[in-house]
Amino acid sequence: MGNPIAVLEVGTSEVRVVVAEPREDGLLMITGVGRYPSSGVRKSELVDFENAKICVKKALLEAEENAQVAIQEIFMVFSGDHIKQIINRGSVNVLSMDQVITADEREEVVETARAVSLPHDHEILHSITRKYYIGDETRGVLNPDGMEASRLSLEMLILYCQSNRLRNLYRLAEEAALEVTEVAFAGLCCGLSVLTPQQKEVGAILIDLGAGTSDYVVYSDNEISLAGSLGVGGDHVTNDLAMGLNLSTTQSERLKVKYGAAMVDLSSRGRRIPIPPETGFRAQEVLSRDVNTIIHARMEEVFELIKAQVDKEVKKKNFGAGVILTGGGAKMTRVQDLATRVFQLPCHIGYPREISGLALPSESPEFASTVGMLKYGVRYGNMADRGPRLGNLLRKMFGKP
Amino acid sequence: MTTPLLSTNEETIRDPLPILFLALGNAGGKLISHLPKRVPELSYVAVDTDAASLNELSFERKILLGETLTNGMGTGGNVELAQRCLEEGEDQLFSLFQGYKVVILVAGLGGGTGGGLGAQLADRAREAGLLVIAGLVQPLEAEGGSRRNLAETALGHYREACDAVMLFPLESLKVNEDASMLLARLLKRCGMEIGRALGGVAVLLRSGWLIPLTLQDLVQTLKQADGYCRLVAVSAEGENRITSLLDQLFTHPLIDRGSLLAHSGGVVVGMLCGPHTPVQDLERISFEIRRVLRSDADLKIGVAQDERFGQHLALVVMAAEQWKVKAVSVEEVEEELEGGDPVPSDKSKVDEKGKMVQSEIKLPSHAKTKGRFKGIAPTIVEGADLDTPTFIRKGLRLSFHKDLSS
Repeated sequence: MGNPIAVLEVGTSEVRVVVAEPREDGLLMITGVGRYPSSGVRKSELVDFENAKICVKKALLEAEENAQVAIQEIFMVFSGDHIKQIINRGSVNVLSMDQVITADEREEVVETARAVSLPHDHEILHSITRKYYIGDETRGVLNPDGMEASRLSLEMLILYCQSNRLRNLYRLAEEAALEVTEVAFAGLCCGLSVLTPQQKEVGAILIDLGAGTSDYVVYSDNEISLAGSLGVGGDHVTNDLAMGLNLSTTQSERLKVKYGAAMVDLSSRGRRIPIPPETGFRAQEVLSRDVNTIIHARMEEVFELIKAQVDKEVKKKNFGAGVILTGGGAKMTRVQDLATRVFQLPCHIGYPREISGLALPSESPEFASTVGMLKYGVRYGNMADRGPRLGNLLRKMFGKP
Repeated sequence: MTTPLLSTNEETIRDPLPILFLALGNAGGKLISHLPKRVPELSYVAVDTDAASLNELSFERKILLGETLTNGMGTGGNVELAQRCLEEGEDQLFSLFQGYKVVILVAGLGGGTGGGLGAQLADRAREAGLLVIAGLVQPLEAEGGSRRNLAETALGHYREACDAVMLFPLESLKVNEDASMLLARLLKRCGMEIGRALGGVAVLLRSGWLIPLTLQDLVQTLKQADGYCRLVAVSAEGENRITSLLDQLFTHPLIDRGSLLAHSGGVVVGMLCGPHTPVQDLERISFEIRRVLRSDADLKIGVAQDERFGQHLALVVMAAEQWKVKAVSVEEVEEELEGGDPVPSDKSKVDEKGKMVQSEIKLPSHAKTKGRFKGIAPTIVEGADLDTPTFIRKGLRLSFHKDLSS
């Protein structure tokens, strides 16, 4: 087994630390999990640094005890609706006499494609190679090395984020005596964790329904065509229920998890759900239909907004693998039916693949992002030993099956 | 909101309209092959490019298109060939429409004939001055990408060519328990359900009305639905027929086990009954349906009587799948929030497709509508503050209607 690696995800509902060791057969052996309910995080962003710090330390301690390791370096999962994408194209002339493209031209065109103008206080989070274009050809190639051309172009998908939010995440880790090895966008991590190479090849829409945000990554035409984050998640559903039915947040969260459904099923139309009392909130009964009407409206809106993005941004809409849902929201009753109806595509839940050890992460779609980051970490470590170029690694892991 | 329920007026009983049911392709023919015997007052014709498939049908009138082009072997899903077949038989088809005011075109979307030439045929019917309604069957997802692509393209063409479209997605008729069911049995059951729904429309069109429901009512609802609509028919008899009828309706897969009914903005209900049906039966059905609908849903109810129904009771329900939603007015929001502070907007409320546009809803900025998201950076998409509960922005009313300002 290889050296253990650890991933920290500061989620809106929970802080998670997962430790794993790479096995010789290529699988990841999960050796430790630490979880602690989040405090000080809203919509995947820090709103109370001190509270979040305590949660990180608690989750870290549990994971360390569980895995029997001392964690000093960490990979981190990152999300938030400030993460945006740009698709940029850069071009260079091939100057050699024989006009054969070499690694030098390739490196140069990567730098050119990465040279984008970002808003103030934003920085590049990921730059993912999509396709190279040779001369005036309109059909892209995956690897131009050795080909002849007078000009080489590259189309790159660039994900950028607000610098201060990224810096605060680093600071949070440092406060817990952790050194951050790498940070990756949660949506991309989910893709790495649950999608098979075949699914990426035929096209898929992956949506990570988290508590604070709904992250999405769209694979089509054998590449990532769209990635982003919508600042609406399960917390909004809880809040909607609390507002609509006059419940506390705790009451509505329990109601959502235990009785909530994304579709209104009229077979239980008259069903009344008892809500136990809580300090400041009396006991009452609510109608199942009201609960599901509120949930349906919110979830339908989330899917419709993502679909609008897909319709607008993705040229080749081939999604043979349909819609894959991850995150805690994927466990909601009949959420697949709703996604099928909105996207007019088959939909299923995505579970983390190719892992062994502690059962929890492989059985829970909400662990998709952390497990994806573990996979990223393992390959990052392997590539780092050989002195990798990050652009290539990202393309291999996210852009290409 | 609703049509008044019971006011028996014998004068409203009218002659049936000159309506033609046109079964197109193999799927179309099979779906309504039972209707000529059951509802002989209407006219039926089957049109196909496949002679063998046409021979299996017991329709009195059948038209084989493109015989010289395909030798009666069908188009094999070839859209171009199907369209050439249509051109060849155009004169014959045009004369077919003479004397009718309405054509109900029934087809499967995944086949060459139904998917390939149906929309153009509908276009020709409209040119001939007919009102064109299509009942279209979407293929199963398992039938593959090319068939699904063909179906999607065809559906788009149908929506442009027809006055209204009733959609029957086969996938919605497949429930989880069906995974181990034989394919032939599943398809047969789907065919029966769809055939029954279309049959319900046929019966409604020719029945004597106690409470009128005109074809225009159906068409208006379909048009309001932006072309998409689901249709379902259920029937029951015996002592518990009302309960049985409602249970069937509220769990029917063609309307997503009732979900579509609960969220639809427009619903047309045709009740079919025998001459001895008591008023209370109809009142109870109306009450139960109204109870599950959105309070702002546009409900039209008609009651038709047919002696042959005896003690049977049947419902034909058409529910709009997409509805031209009314955005919440400033006044309504203010009233609801008791002094809320609406954001002014002078944009129109509905886009050209009739769907509610996020940015155009009058949003309350009242802090009390944001709950736990009060005081943190809002999530704004196209002008809409997504931290405000969706049900408030969409103006959905709950049974438990609380005062939000309390």
